[in-house]
Amino acid sequence: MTLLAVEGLTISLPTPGGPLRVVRDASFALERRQTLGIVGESGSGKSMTALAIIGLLPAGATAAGRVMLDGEDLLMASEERLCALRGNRIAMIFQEPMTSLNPVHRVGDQVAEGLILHRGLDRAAALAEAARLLDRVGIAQAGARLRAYPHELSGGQRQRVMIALALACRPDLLIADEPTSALDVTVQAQIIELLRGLIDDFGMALLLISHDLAVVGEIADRVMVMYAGAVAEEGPTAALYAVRAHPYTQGLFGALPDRLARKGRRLAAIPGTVPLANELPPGCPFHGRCPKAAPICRETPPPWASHAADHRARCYFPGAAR
Amino acid sequence: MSAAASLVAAEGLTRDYRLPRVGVLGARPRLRALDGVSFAMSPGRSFGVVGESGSGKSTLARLVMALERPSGGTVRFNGEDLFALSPDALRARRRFFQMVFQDPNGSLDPRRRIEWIVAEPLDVAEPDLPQADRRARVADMLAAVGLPEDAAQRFPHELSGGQRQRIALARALVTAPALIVADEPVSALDVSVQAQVLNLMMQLQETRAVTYLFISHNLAVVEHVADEVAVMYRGRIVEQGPAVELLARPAHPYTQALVDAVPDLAAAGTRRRRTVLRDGGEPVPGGCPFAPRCPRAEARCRSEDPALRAIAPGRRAACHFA
Repeated sequence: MTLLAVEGLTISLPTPGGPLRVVRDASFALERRQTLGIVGESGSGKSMTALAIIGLLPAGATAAGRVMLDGEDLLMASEERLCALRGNRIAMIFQEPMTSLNPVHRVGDQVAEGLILHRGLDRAAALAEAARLLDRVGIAQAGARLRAYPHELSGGQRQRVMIALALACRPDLLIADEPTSALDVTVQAQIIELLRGLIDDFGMALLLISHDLAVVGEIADRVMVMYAGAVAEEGPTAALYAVRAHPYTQGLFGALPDRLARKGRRLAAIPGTVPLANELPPGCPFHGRCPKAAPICRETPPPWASHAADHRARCYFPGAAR
Repeated sequence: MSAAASLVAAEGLTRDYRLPRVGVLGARPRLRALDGVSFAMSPGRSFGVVGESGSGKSTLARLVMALERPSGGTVRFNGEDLFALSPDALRARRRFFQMVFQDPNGSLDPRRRIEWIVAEPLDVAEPDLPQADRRARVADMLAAVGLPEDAAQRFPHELSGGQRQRIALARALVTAPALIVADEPVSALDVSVQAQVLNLMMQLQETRAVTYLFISHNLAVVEHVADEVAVMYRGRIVEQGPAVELLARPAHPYTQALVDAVPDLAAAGTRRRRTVLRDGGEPVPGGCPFAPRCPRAEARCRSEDPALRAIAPGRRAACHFA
């Protein structure tokens, strides 16, 4: 059975001006041992999608559609049930581990807490397991590091601790929201390598959320590109990166500084900015910035167009970039 | 290049910070954030500085901006030693070097209108400028950075991140400076907006002959913008040279590691692994600071600190094997 199947997910946030639909009709699936990358800029809805899956949407937000974990609809689950699943079957790591770790508790106790809570270990056994986990995520002298406070660790080490925390109960699904964006590039490479190894060892699925096309391309089996709350394109990583069927995907790649390009050449910036959720135009959300926009794009949202059996884009005029 | 022809010439710049006392009666250890850094910048060109967090690149920026005094060494701007000037004389020079920061939210006063924010540097630079001329100058600057005239009456929160960074550039340029120090100017921006701001910076350089000291952890961005690049590690320049040449054929193992750590977009979906630079222990005093992490380190590297020396015309590196 598919581990995670999201169908028609729509998320609304309450605002004084009425509900704001920050994610609209997102559907995707994720199998065990697979990595799905969600790529998008600010306001694309990628983080909200993740929070809906783990049941941590902000107060007042509502989610419609279905989020099926092994056939169980998480949107219908009680808070009690979600509590039991979080940290146990689904775990999440964030961009800045300093804000997710408790600054006044030793990292060993923080990792052990989940083991005591979810796996019923006693304190001594939990600390021993915590040391083993810290060692697995690459913390040198893990046994001694159990007594360290988060501020005594580097950014990369803190992210390793967060990953150990997330792994404590061997989750089936790990959600990582910009896990390497605050890290130096050499540390980023270490963390990506670690995540890859963990997927192979633990057999978990990874939902990786990032604005960084290069990082996602390195680790994801499939990629979903989101724009202004909607999925623009979805497909296998190599195919999507090579074909770039949606004009927004083409724009994202074109805007990247190219290492081999002549110095001083202008980058192909996407003109304008992402529309706010309360100012979404009718039709395709990208039409105002799209070089291919035609009258129909301003009127009716485009249907899915298939590029291949497992590769599709929501555009009237999809095509290969090159 | 002779020192006389350079716009900025730093010589032996060192900066120590005192850390908090160790225990109640303990000593206050010193942290050497910058360790004997020398370089020269040609007018009208872009000098890029790359390095990871803690490498000293932001300290370098603050010294070049004369925002703090070095513990040793000099910064010459147009041949004048900035730290030998009287406070009044230094204040009079400040209009010729301005700064742009990473986070435009933190650097723009949220209670002021854009017009006030952009015009503020003129208070010191040209206090006698009539009000009408100030307005005209602001309008010119807004046009130069591609913002509509009515942006003048707005507040920073009414603008997007990219627009705020345009405002930061307009404010930096209003005194017609020769030098702009840009510390991670596009790191907080979405990819599509980042490209807009980079294009704008290059266009402003062409039309206004401004010189950039461009600091970034992003190699691709630096390579796109910079003519000359300095790579920093633990407070020192470990390699310097023409941007394209240096990044295509790094001479220092640390530069090589930085280049290798950049994920390759063309390899997306192939699961190709990056070469990962490991963390190392503390360097041995008197040895090469990079030796504990260096794949090429030999006994000599732990006993003899390599000097930054010329390895080819226009190129310097601090490695025994370069």
